[in-house]
Amino acid sequence: MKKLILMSAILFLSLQGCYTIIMTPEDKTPVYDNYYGFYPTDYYGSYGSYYEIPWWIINPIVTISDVKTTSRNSDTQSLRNNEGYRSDSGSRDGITTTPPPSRDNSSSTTTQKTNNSSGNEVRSNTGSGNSSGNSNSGSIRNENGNRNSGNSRR
Amino acid sequence: MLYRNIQFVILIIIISSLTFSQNYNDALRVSIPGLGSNARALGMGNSYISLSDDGSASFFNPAGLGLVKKLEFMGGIDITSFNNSTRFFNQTTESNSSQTKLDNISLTFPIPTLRGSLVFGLSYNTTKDFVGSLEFSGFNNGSNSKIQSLLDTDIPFDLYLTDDNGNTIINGRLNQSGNMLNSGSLNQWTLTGAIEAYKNLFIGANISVVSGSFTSDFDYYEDDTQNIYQGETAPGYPSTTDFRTFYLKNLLKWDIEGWNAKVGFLYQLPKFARLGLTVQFPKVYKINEDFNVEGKSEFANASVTLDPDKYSDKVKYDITSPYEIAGGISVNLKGLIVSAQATYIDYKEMEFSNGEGISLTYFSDQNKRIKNLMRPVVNYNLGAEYTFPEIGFRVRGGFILLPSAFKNDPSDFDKKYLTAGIGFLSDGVIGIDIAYAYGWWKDVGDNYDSNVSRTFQDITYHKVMLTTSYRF
Repeated sequence: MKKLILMSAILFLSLQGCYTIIMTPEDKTPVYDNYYGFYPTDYYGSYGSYYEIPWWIINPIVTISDVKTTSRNSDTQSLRNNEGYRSDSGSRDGITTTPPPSRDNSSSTTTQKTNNSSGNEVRSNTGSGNSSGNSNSGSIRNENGNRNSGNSRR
Repeated sequence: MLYRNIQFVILIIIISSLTFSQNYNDALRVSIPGLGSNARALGMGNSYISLSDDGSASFFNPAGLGLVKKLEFMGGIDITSFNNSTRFFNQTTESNSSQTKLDNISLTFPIPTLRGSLVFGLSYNTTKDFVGSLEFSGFNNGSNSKIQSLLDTDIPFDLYLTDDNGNTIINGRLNQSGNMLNSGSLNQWTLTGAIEAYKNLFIGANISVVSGSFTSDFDYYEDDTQNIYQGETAPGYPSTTDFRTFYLKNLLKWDIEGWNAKVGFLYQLPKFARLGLTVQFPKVYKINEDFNVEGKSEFANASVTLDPDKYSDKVKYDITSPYEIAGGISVNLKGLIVSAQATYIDYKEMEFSNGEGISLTYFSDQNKRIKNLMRPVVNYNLGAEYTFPEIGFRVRGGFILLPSAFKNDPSDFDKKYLTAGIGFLSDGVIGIDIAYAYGWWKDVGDNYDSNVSRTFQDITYHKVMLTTSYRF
């Protein structure tokens, strides 16, 4: 019986091929398509995102080799230079008055606190997308962040 | 003639060594399913193999772990109360036993995927508790007693309740009483893996390492409350005049180890239903048994105690439980989930083996008795859950039916549970679930022989379970 079940499982997988594809760090974060949908938000409220949204979409895996990321890195570097200027304007914490990076209006203190090091700031910014959705890496992430906080589909 | 006498002596020795030995009740103890350790599942009557979308999938359906999409840490405790109202020769005695236990810790880790699902989990679950109690007292007017039933052992002789030839004047009509307290649990560490093998088809498997303990402490008394036995129970020994009390204590301790494996399948019809199927392979329990006996006889002016070393024993043996094959379905009706499942268990497949310090033929006989006394059963679980989406609150109800494993038991002996539960979500990441189960069934127990000193037990069972989970 035991052997029969194991053989059936192996045979099934070998005939069908495996449906699951593991994501590597080089892969772009996939778009969340919600095709499972056993807990649609309309009927399950916040339980919908609790069960359905994968953690790697809310906390995306980001690589620094991405071309788009590199350009944003340089943008942030220039802002950082400006911060030195604004600091002289009388504000004790010049960082909090720094304008956000050009493409993301929702940038907040999370972004500004992490921009001390040009080498690491992109990772830090992207990582903070979990809480504020301020990553520039795509609108999908922002939507997910909103849904996670319950503002979008409740 | 000499050959016949030798045969008789050998028979006596074998019977003596087996008086307190292992039997089908020991096999049933570890083979009847427990209530698990997940409050959401218990609230839904444990009708959960077609849901299983959390860390408890390791217990219900390993394939369900493939539905978990966030890192999850889960933990829980439960409180169990066992109440036994025992009728014994028209007297009813109440008894109670309870236990509080950390019943679940699990960590679930979904691997990031571009398509499908691959999830691993490590969990510790209490799969079953051994909480139980029994108290009884009544006058047995029959011409039988435990003392007489033990005449094939040295116990009555050693307690000066027989003459030098092993005959006793005791002939029933004693007040019999006793109390028993059971405790312990079966726990397992489980490593589970699940994958979406085809779109919406999940396959999972796990392997568990079992640990556990069981303790049964049984005190039994026979008192000559009517002063029937005024003479010497051991002629020639005046101190045995006026028999008062016979006392026997059995203390059984198990240290349980073992392993088992389970495979599961789960198919999902998006937004509508899930189907689950599991095969629990036979569980192998390695029992390290420590059995202690104490005994005492009391007379008007003297008392005698047994030498505990003579009757205490340490043995090892294996118990193998039957296959458990389960199928279930959950239907999603706009916020209302209705779930049902059935589990097939053939208790005839229970088996003793690998005894150390126990004869091979004894276990062979016990395995035959199991086949003669037990039957296959189908357990049923029903459950429902409704979610109030605006407030993230859920209510649940369920029913569990576990038919008796004994062939000729009436339905009163089936274990039945009504369950209820609530759940709510805090900040979208912390799930808190509470469940309550109320169980009731009848049971009987024989102090010796069959139906001459029987306890009729009405059992009620309460369990409160709390499970919290954090998904991030």
